[in-house]
Amino acid sequence: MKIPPKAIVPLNDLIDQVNRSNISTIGSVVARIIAVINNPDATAKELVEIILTDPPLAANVLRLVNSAYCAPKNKIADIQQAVIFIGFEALKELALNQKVCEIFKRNQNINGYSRARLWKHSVAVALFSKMIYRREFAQRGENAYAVGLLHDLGIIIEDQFQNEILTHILETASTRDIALVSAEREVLGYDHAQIGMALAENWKLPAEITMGIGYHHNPEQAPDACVPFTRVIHIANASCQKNDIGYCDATQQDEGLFNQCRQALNLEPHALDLIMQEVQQKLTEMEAEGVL
Amino acid sequence: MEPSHSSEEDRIRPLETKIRHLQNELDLTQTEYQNLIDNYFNIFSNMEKMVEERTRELNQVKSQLEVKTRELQIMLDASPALIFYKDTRGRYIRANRKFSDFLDIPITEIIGKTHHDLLPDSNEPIFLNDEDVLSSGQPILGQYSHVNTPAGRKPMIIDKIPNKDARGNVIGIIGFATDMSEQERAQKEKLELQERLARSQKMESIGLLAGGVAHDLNNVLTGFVSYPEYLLMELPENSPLRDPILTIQESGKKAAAIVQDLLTLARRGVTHTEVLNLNEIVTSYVASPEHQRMASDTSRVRLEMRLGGDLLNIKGSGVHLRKTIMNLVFNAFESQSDEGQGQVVIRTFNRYVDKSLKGYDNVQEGDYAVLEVQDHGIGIAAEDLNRIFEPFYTRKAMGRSGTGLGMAVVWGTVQDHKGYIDVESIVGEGSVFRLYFPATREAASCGADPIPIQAYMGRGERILVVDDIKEQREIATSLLGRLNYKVESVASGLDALEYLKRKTSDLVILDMIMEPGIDGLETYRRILSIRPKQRAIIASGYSETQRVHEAQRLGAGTYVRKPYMLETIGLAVRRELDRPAA
Repeated sequence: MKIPPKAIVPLNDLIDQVNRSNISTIGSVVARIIAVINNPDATAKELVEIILTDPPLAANVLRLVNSAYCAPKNKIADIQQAVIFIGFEALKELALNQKVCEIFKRNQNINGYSRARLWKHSVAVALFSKMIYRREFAQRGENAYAVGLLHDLGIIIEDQFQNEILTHILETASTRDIALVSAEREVLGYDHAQIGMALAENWKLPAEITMGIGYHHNPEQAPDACVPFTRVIHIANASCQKNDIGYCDATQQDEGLFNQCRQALNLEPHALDLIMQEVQQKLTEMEAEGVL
Repeated sequence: MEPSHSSEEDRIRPLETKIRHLQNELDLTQTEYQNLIDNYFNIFSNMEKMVEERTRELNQVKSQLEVKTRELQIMLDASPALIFYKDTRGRYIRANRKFSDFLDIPITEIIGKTHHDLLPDSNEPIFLNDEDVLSSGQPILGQYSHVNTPAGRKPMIIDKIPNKDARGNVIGIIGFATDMSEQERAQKEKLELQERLARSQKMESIGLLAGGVAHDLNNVLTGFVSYPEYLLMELPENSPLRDPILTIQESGKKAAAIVQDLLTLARRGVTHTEVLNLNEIVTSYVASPEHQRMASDTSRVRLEMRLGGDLLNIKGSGVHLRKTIMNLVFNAFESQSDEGQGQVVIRTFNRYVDKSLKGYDNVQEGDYAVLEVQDHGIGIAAEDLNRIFEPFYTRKAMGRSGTGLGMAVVWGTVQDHKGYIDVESIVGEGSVFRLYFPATREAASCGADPIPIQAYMGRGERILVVDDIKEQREIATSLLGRLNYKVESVASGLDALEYLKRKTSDLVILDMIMEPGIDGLETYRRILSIRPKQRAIIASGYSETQRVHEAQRLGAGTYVRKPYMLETIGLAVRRELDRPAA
């Protein structure tokens, strides 16, 4: 399928289109939650206020808090109670999770790509990168989790605003057995990581998150300060794909880059294996409880 | 060795990693747990703050409520009505001070009790029987009833209004009760005053009418009095006409007396310029032939006079007052029953009146000279008491005596003197008439004739007045100037000395006390050192002191008390100037 050049939208125009759509309102809430996550002085009250001003989000949060996954003894009726029950940290993650999920909710299958699979992949990368931080570096890794959820946002944007072109890209990648980013650059002139990064910048997310999204396929090219972070995201993304928690571009792996990152971060393969096991277990639990 | 070592390492390293992972997770969880606790603490302290805020708001509302309650109580207490709130079970939940005073029970003891609890013996329907209002929810207004109170039985009007809550349910009653006794008393008083005014106006018009005819009658009567006398002279001693003519003459004299009284009434309102003393009028009346004649006719009645010493003078008309005393004494004598010895007492005394004795017409506060005539006669019935001052009103056997105008003259005289009459009388025991006349501080005009001004006129002599008070200097200058003296004045002893160093003066009038500076005595001493033969008199507002006597011993003449009259100062000046030189 040949795409006429005029159908190709430049990156800036694409971002404008997104900002005129309902995704921009989701983005502003996501940005506010991420701001709370990044502010050490933020209180639970601020988060509760963000959630309360977004009724669908509040409903989702309460639904999840009351699900078997959290299993409270008594029904939790308001967000304030939810904070006390599951804790501020967990609620931040839960709220972010639910808000980003709203972008992924439409389910479509195109050549082995589906939004549900992409969402599961995103959650897996989020969990994996966070655990690298926690288990290996003994750090909180909140932004790693956020980037995990958001790193493939660009694909959703392509799906929603350039659906035919995405189909073409996926076919191209599949038939020529090349990486998705390569096919994207060939067809569009930019890739999904760049779309995500442009959007994150537009939403004024923290630089670390913007870089994490933008350089998850080429971590070494990120600004020096962000390289360790982008390496973690890259490893998490690659690990999930290797373990079949991914989507169509899983086939193309740059083992050299992966190992380079792994050694730079001083991560042992068996440590990653341990983390992988936990991520799998967690995903299984989540799927069992219908949380995903 | 190598493989086994390697396989052991393969087993140990993941375990080590696992432990490291768990250790890291544990550390993080601890931090997060601490954060969680901090968060909970914040939430709880916020809640505490909220509770504190709510409590403060509640306290504010409570104190506002207390203020409002106090304001309500002040307003209730300020009301002249008795006000009470009761709940549906008849218990008092609020009462004002008037209500508490009325029951003579403190408010704190009233609250929470029913009327029956407070006064088990009371069956006053207006404080009970609230059911109608409670059941209908309609007010009952203007119930009138007499209520027994610690201060006696009182007429009351009560309004009962249902007390409703915000939803309109009746939660009790509010009662307003007004003590009507004051209002009823005022109403009665008003009626009495109106009657009194009507009576006063009636007597006024009768008096005018009577006075009007009196002048004409007097002329007509001349014939009845004068001609019988002429006829009697012409008739022989044994003429049978003598008796009828004598009767005509007597009738004429009586008619003339009536006309005299009418004229007295008609002359009412003359200005009273005389300063009089009631004691003198009483004494002169009692010594008069009219009284002597009457007293000898009724010799069994004894007249006693108890005239108060230092009786205050009054201003008025001697003729009218004399007539008034005569009429009262006549009536007193006549009121004595025919049998037994009677006694009539005339008293005079001073009385300070600071309020109306019996609601008499507009009595001025002040000193009064009182004339009291008391008898122990037949007395006057209460129903007649109000009418005795009306002309021709009498209970006495008609024609026995009098003109029928006596008491009208008494009444009119007292009115004209701006006094008032107080009458007490008990049938069978006698009557007391008390006449109150406003006192005057002026001296009675009786006494020495004034000395003619020529006796103390000056002959142009120079007089120096020494007085520290400007008004006094002006008065002295003016008075002595009128007496043809050449007067100069100075304000102090030292000024007087300065003056006398330069000029001479025939006489110096010295004030005794002058502030500041030297006094009269010291001034006189120093004057004598300049002019040893200086004549001087002393004028002072204070009584004669040792210093006055000392000045007189040095040669100063008469001491004149201030304030002085023209005559006094004139005589003193003349005497000193005419004194032969020592």
